Amino acid sequence: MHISTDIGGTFTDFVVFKRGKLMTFKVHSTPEAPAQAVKQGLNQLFSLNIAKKLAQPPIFSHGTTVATNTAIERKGTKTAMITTKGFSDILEIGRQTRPSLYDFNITRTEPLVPRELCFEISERVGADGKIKNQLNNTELRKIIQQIKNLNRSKYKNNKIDTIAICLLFSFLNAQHEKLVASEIRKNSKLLPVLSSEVLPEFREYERFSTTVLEAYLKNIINEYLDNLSAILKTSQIREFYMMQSNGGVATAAAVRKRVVNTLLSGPAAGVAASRHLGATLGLKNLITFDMGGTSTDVSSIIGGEMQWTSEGKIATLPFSIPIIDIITIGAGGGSIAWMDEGGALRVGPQSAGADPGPICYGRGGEKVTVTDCDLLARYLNPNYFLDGKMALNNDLSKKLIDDFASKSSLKFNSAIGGVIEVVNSNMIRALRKVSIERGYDPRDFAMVAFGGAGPVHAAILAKELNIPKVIVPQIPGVFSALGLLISDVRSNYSKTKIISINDRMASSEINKILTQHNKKANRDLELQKLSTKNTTFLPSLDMRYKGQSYEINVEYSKDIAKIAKKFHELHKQRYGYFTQDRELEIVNVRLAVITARNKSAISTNKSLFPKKVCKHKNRKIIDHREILFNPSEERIETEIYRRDDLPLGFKSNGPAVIEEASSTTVVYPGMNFQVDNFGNIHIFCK
Amino acid sequence: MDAVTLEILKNAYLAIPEEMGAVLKRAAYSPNIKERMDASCALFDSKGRMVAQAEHIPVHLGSMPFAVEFIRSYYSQTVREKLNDGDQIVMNDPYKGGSHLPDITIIKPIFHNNKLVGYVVNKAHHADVGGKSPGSMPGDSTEIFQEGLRVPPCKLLNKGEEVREIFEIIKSNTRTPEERLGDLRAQLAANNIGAVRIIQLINKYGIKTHNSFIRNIYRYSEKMVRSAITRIPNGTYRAIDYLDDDGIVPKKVRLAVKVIIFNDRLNIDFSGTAKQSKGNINSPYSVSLSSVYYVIRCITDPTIPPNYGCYKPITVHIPKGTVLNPYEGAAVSAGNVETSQRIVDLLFSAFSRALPGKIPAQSQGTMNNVLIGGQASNGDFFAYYETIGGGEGALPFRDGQNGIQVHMTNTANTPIEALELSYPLRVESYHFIYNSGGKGRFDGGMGIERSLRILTDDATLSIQSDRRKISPKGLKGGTDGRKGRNYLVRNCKKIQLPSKITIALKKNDLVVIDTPGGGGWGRKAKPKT
Repeated sequence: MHISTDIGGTFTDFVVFKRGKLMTFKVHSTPEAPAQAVKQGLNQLFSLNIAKKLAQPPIFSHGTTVATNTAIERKGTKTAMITTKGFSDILEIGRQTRPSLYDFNITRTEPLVPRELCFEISERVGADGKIKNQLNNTELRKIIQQIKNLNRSKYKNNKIDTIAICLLFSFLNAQHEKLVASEIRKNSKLLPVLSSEVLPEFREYERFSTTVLEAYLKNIINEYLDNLSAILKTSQIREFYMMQSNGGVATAAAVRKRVVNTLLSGPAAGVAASRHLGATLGLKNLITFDMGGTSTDVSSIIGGEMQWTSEGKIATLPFSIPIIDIITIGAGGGSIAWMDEGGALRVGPQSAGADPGPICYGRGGEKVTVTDCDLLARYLNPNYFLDGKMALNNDLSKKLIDDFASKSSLKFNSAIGGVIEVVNSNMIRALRKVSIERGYDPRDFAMVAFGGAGPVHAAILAKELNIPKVIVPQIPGVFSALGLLISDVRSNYSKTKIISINDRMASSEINKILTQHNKKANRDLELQKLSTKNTTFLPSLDMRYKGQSYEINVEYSKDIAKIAKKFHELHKQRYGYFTQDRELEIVNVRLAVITARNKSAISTNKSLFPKKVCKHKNRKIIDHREILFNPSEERIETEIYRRDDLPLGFKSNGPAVIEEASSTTVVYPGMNFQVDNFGNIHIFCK
Repeated sequence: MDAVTLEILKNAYLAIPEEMGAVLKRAAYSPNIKERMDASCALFDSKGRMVAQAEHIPVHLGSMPFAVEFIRSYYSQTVREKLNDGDQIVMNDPYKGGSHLPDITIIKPIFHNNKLVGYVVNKAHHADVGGKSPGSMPGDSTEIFQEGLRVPPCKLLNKGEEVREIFEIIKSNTRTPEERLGDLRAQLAANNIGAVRIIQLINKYGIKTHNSFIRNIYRYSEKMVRSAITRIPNGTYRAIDYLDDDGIVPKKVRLAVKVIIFNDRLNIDFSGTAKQSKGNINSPYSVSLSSVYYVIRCITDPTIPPNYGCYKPITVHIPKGTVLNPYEGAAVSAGNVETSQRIVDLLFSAFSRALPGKIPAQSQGTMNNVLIGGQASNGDFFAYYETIGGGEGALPFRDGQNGIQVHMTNTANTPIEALELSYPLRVESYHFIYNSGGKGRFDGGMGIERSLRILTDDATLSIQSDRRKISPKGLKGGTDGRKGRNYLVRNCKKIQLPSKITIALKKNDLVVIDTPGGGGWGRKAKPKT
C-alpha cells in the first residue's frame, strides 16, 4: 500500500493506492500543527478494511507547505550571520532594485537576519580562489562570545540557534568558512550552516539568501519531521518520502540535510503528475493548469521534461536551487469582482480566500467571486459540491450578484458571464507567458487541467490560446497528491567553475568536480538506503558566450565539441540566434541524480491511472441544466453527466458538464470530448 | 463599449507590448537589454497616439509618443516619402524624438487591407554607439557630437528588406559591432511579432471593435486620471531645486516649476529654469516629459493603463533653450540619467503641499553612474558600467528604504563575485553608510559606500553623479539626507573627486563612491521625560 498526503491550506488530501485501486479522502487541515491532520487521516484510514492484513509495511509520500509558510509568516528560528568585513548589508541591499516602479506602498522584504545579528569578520578570498587576507581568529572568538551573550540577555526567551556563514568567494575556497564553523562547534551549541555547502555557486546575494533560508528553516523542519516520524511509526510506516521543489521526492534523512529544498514543493507535485500522465499518453508537450481557490499555478512540460529554473523566490527572498519553473497567478475561484472608476469590470487581486469564501459558501462572504458566477452560470451543481458534502447557497449568490449587476449597470447574465470572461483573460496572459513568450507554439501542446476549478475554466482558455486539446485526469481535485505517488527521488549537486571551453584544462577540471559530485551523491544515496541500481546520473554544464551574464544548461558529454554544438542549438532555440565563433565559457558544473522508485507497488502496467471496470455501457445523462456559455447569447440546455458513469471510450459533443466529487468539467458548445482507456477526459477544443 | 469587453480587450492589447518585450529580451545580445531590461515596447494607433505600453523602465515613458509623432510629420511633410508595409524606421536623435544616443528607437507602421492601422515601437539602450568614450556616456562632453553616432529617422527595413547601408553605418560607428547588429535584429523581431498580434486581434474582433476599443481605452484612462486629479486640492504650487553643476562650469543649475491644479486639469510650467548648459546635463524635451509622466503615475493610480488618454488632462510647458529643453547640438548624455532624477524631486516638492499624505521627501536624486574601462594585465579590453542605489527618501507613512534604485531607474547591480571574475577590479566595501539618511518621524534611508580597488595599470574612470554639493531635502520637518561624495585613495592619500569627471587611474588606486541618503519626513516626536 502506498499512501500520499498533500497538506493544503484548507484540506489535507489523502490518496491511497493498493493493488490497482485508488481511494481518496480529505480531512480538515490543522495549520497550527500540520502533522495532526496527517495523524487524524491515518487513524481514519487504518480503521478501514483496505488497511488491514498488509503483506508489507505501507510507503508514505508527503507534500507540505511547512517550509513555505514558515518563511512567509517569518516563524523560523532566530538566525545570525557571519560575513566578510565590508559586506554585512548584502542581505538588505539585495540587487538594489525596488519591487514596484510606481507604487510606494510596496517595499522590499526585510531580511530574515536583522542588521544587529549580521557580524563582520576580517578575511578575504580573491576571485582566483587564493587567500588575500587571513581570517582573524581573535575577532571570530569575540563574535561567538557576543552571540552567546545575546542569548543570555536580549534573546533569553528566543535564542539564536543557527549561524549562517556567508563569506565572499567561498565557492572557490571554503577554507575560511570551515574554520569559522569548527570554531563555532568547538565553543558553542550553535548550529553552523555554510554557504559553500548549501550552494557553492557565484553571485553572493543569491548564495547568502539561500544559506540564510536554510539556517532559518532548519530546526523548524527537523522538529516537524520528528513529530511526523513518531506518528508514522505507530502506523508501521518505515519508508517515508517528501516532495521537493525540484519535482522529485527525497527521504526524510535527505530533507534534514537540505531543508531549503522543500520550499515551494506544493505545486511541484501536480507538474510531476502531469509529466507522468503525458508519458503514459505519449504526449511530450504539456501546459499544466492548476486552478484553486486563491491562486492558479501554470507550468509546462517540454519534450517530456519538466522545466527548471534556479531563480526561485519566496516572499521576494531568492533561493537559487533548481526548482520547477511555475508561474503563480493570484487569481482563483475566490477572486473578487469589482468595478473601477474608469468603468471597467475587474476581477482580483483581492480574494475571499477559504474564509469567509465565496458568497455561496454561506459563511458570511458578501463579495461576488468567480465561484459564485460559476455557480450562477450553472457550471456547478449546488447540491454536488465536494461530493455533496458542502451545499452551495444559490439564492444568496443570486441576490448579491443582482445587487452588483444593478450597481454596475450590467444585466444579470452579463455580470456573471463578464466576471468569468475577465478572470479568463487574466489567466490567458499567464498562460501566454509559459508558452508563446518562451518561443513555443501552443498548437503543439495539450493542456492538463486540475485543481478544483481547473477543469471548469480550462476548455475555453485552451480554445482562446489555440491549444487543441485539454486533458482532465481522474480525480483532478487531488491530482497533486497523485503526483506524490509516482515522483522519482531527485537530488542536485552544483559548483561554480568558470573556465573557457578552449582551455586545455577544461576537461580535467570538469571531471574533477563531477567526481566530487558523484562521491557526495553516493554518500547521500547510502544515507537514504537507495540502491544505485535504479539510479541515473545526469551531469550537465551551465554555459554562456564569454561576456554574457546569463547561462544555459547543457547536457554533459565527454566530447567538448558535442557540448559546444548542443549549446549553439539551445541558444538558437531559446533566443533566436547563435554565434558560432564566439568563445564559450563554462560557469557551473551540475549533477542531477534520479532514483526511480519501486513503482510495482503502484501498478503493473506503465500507468498510475488504472483501467476502470465500467458498470454502464450506455451513456447516462443524469440531468439537464440551462447553462450560460456566452453572456451575449441565450442559455443553452446542456447535458449533465456523472464522471463515474462514463465508460472508457465514451464520446460525445459539447455542450456538456461532467460532475465528480472533486471538480467539474465544462465542455463548451462546438467541442467534442472522449474518455480514453485510462479514464482521462480529452476535450477537443478546435 | 461595455465594462466586460473593455477589460478583456485591455488585457489583450496590453499582452502585445508585453510579448514584444519578451521577444526583445530573448533575442537581444547584450546583458543591458537581456538582464537589466533597459528597453520599452509600445503600441500606437494610426494617428500616432499611444494605445498601450508595457511596464519596463520609467525613463522611456514620455519619449516614445514623441518619437512616433516626429516620424509621422517627418515622412509626410518634411521628406514626403511614403511608408510601406514591411518598413521599419530606426532613429536615436535626441532632437528628433530620442532621449540620449545609446537609446535606439525602432518604429514599424502596421497595415491591414492596405490601410495604415497603427504602429509598433520599441526602444533599447545599446551598450555602445561610438563617441569619445566606451559606453557612449562621457563624463565631460560639451556637444552631442562627442557622445556618439546620431541617426535621424531612416528606413532600416524597406518593404521587409534590410537596408545594408544603414546597418553598415551603424556597424562602423560602434566599438561592439556584432552585439549592435544582434540587438537591432532583436528589436526588428519584437516589432514584427507586435504587428502580427495586432492584425490577429483586428481579424478576430473586427476593425470596428478595434477602433471603438481605442477610443474607449483613451476615455477610460483619461477618466481615471481626471478623477485622481480632482482629488488634489486646486491651487498653484511652486518649487525650485538645483543640480550641483554641469560638470564643466562649477556653478549650481536651477530648475523651477509651477504646477497649477484646477478641478480635473493639471498644468505644469518649467519657466524660470536655467538656460541650457555647456556640460552634458541637458535633458531633451522627451526625457523631461518622461519624468513628468513618472510623477503623474505615482500620484494617480499606478494601475491606470498608460496611453494617450492619460496625458490629455495635462499640459506641459518647457521654455526652449533651457536645460530641460535644449536647442539642437547641446550635449545630453547625463540629462537622461541625472537631470531626469532632479525633475522628479522638483515635481514632488511642488506636489508635497497639495498631497501631504502621499509625497516622499527627496530621494538620493542621482543614479551614481560609474564607468571604468581599459585594458587588463592580460591584454583584454574591459568596460564596466554600474549605477548605485541610495536613500529612497521617507514617505509620510513609512521610512525610506536603504540603498535602493530610485524613481527613473530600477536596474539591478552587478554581483561582486561576477564583477571580480570578469574585470581587473576588487570590491573592498559595499555597505550602508550609517546615519546618512535624514531623520524624522520617518527616516530617509541610508546611502551606500562602494569602493573598488584597481588591479591593472591601464584604466579610465568616468563618473556621472549629483547631490555631492546639495543635500537631499527632508520634508515637513524631517532633516536632510547626507550628500554623496566621490574620492580616490592613491598612495594612502585621499583625493576628492567632483560629481562629474573623467580621469586616468593607476594600479592599486581605490575608487570610493558614497551615495546620498534620503531626506527624512516629519518632526521626530520628543521622547517623553
